[in-house]
Amino acid sequence: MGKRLPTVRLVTVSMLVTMASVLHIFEGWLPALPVPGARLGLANIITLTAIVFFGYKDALAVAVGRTILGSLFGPGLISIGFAMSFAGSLLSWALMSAVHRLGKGQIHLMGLSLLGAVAHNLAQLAVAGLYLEEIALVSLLPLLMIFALPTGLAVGLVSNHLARALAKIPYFRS
Amino acid sequence: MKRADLIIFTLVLAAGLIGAYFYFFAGGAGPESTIVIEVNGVVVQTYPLYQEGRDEYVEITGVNGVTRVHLEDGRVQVVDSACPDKVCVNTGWIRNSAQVIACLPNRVIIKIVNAEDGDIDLR
Repeated sequence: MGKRLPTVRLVTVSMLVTMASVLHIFEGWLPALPVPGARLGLANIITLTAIVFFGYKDALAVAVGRTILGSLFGPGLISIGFAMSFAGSLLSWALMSAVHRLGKGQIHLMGLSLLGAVAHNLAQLAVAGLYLEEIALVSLLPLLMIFALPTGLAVGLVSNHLARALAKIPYFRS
Repeated sequence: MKRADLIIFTLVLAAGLIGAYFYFFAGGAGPESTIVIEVNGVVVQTYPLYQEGRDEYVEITGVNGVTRVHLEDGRVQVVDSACPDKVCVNTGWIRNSAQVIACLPNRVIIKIVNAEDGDIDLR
């Protein structure tokens, strides 16, 4: 997606941020999952699709924008909840982008998504651990990792379908 | 799925399973183990982990309000807390020193400290 007009890019990114924010907020309404701190990671669908379809920069805008907007509808910006989802979103964007670039098409979106989920969990626990000054919280990481297997793969699968559907839209075909 | 994905999947699964084993079984708990409850990094209450026939509810005041803690013989759980997400309630029972219950909004931490780990940080 190299030669898009600035306005087109602005609108595209805005729509991606909106979709990711809606997923972020919607996920907050779902009942808590059996593993403490576990999330489905629905908003990651948009970040991941943006990475492979619109590029790393636009994906970063999605990752940052949706945590800020999403948190405004939830716990607010001055909250540990925001700090955790912001750090998680950023680290998972960084890892997925780096591996996507290094992998050169040899890694399916399911693998990327799984890595992103684990990165998100790690950052989340690190922030929570620093906040409470309690390193023992990291002991929850293995449980979150096991939980991330099904959710991460599902998110990757959905992102893959979404990216393929987008590729069918003539306007986005470059 | 490509080969790289399988490698990622296997690594995450293996790390998760090994870690979960430690979480559930390797922490250890003995007759001398202590339940330590902290608010804001400060120890506010300690209880012995094992106390035959115990079925006790205690209320801990955190930064947002009250966290209700249920103590039994050899295990402890949070039954209610002044927080929106209830992650602490969701954690369920903890039984050994590798496990921890944390209520972030209320800044309450419940953990189990073994005798040989020594010095409970009384600040």
